[in-house]
Amino acid sequence: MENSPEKLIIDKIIGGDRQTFREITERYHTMVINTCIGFLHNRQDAEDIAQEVFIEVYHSLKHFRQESKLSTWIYRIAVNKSLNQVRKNKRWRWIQNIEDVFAKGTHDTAVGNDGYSADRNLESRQQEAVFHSAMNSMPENQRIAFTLNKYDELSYKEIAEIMSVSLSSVESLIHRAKINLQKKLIHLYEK
Amino acid sequence: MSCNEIREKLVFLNAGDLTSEEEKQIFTHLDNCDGCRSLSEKLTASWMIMENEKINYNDVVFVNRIMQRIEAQELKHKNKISSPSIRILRPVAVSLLSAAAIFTGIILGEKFSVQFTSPEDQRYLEIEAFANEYFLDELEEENIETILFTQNTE
Ligand SMILES: [Zn+2]
Repeated sequence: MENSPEKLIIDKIIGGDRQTFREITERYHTMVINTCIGFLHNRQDAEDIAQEVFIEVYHSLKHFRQESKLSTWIYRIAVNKSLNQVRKNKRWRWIQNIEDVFAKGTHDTAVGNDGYSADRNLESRQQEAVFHSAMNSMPENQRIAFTLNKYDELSYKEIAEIMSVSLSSVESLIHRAKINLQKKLIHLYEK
Repeated sequence: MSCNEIREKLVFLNAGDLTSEEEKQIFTHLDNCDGCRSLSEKLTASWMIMENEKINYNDVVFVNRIMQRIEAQELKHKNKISSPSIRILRPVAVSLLSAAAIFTGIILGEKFSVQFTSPEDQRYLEIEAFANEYFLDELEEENIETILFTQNTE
């Protein structure tokens, strides 16, 4: 790692080279936004948190010990910040969203001349609410592994590095996440 | 395969984890079973939500905004360092302004106290106090280590 290209990049940024930091942001922002979307399921919230991720990366780079790849470290910050935001949102936003979906739904169907599209819209919004509810109820470690695999299309090996667990743990977490997700979805469909 | 056996495998069908032989068996069953087919369609729709949420393009506006924020922060930091007199005088100015604000507040409060505490305001303040007391202490950020490194016990 001593004089690897990554170390040179990091040293440049610590030395105040903003153009190099811009290149890092350009390279990783799509993956960071997707990680955040995978946890928050809201584009605006995800972008806000992703911004915080890069601001933290910029300011904390001098403390990065380079025991892992830069991307692994960035993913960890993204997961951490997203989960903190999930906890903050849990009590307020999510309940509000569900209420909005159903309140808006009755309004649409009652008013709409365009009944067909209003119903379709309601149906897809309810489907989203059900899906997000199922994702939110997953145990945290299963959710991290599943999200990194599905939203960022990361390999099990990369996920193992990010989560500091063994490869077999990741396999088991993702397998159980899928079973859990399906169980929750079926349970919610039946409601 | 029974309906239950099929249903257990639907999520793995969506995830693309099955062999082509298993896929074929499931599709044959779905062609002949309305219940399983309907469930499979719902699960596929849910799975697609995830696929559709993802972004797959470069967001230049996003990158620009980060760079602007960093530049603004650094500029602020620079100004702080380059003017030590302001750094010393600032706490003094803040104290003086606070004292003036409190004094004005007392006078205004005495004059307009009736108008300024409507029942709605009062209710809002009560709810806010309740929220602060019960929820805000749980919102402290957890360290990355406590989240990611406790996974080892899994
Ligand atoms: Zn069946």
